[in-house]
Amino acid sequence: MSKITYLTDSWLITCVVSSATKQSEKMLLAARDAGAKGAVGHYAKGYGARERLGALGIAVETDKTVLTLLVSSEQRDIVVEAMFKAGELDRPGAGYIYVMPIERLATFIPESIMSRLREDNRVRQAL
Amino acid sequence: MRGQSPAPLGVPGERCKLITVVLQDDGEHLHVSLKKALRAKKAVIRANSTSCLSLTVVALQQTKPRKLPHPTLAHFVEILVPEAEADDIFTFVCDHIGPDELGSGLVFQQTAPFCTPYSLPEGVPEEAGDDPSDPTA
Repeated sequence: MSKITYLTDSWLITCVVSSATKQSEKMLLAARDAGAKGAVGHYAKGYGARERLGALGIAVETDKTVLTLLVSSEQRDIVVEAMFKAGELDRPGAGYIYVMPIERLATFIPESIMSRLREDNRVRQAL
Repeated sequence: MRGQSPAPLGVPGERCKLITVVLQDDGEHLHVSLKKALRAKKAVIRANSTSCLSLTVVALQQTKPRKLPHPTLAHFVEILVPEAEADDIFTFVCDHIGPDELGSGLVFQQTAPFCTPYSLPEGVPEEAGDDPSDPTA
């Protein structure tokens, strides 16, 4: 059985925005500039208030992009704020962000980052 | 709702952990073998996967100014397990995919405070090539 190193101080940022514009690209650029190291995106269908806007009561489907990012606790607020502003999420219907804690995260960690995390006592190793 | 139990009245359920795996699509269908291995060796049947686009380590790739790198195809796997078995299954998943190697993917775990039980009907034969006792099938 291999030795697993996992991080215990990570947060999951999930963002749901419209696919019709370049909003998600702007938000990812902002997240990168704020220090985020990676992201995953997939498409989804949104349902809600716009369903009532279709002609003759026919529901209007709205294509959405769901962005998922993992960040450390000190990056969390910076990345969320950058994405919120870049995506102009204060506009009605523009989208939303939610943040959830991660209990543990296992992934490739460069040695330069690993040594710094060990100094901060933010890494646990399990056999 | 703060401080209240998340369990709705009259609905059976338990506290679980959600293990999420992001795997690069390198043509080896690791997400399929992972789900088969989980079912065969750990009796996990609450697992699903979807395709997604991954922008891995965007900060380390050289790109034109104000441009993102080209995304790569990836798979997003979600595994729901009882809280008591989460540590064992998290280790099992990590051993299966080796997330500590560059470009291999990542695994993370979250709490799911309330999950309904799930079972499969009995007496239904396995589909061809889908023998849960053979993760390589």
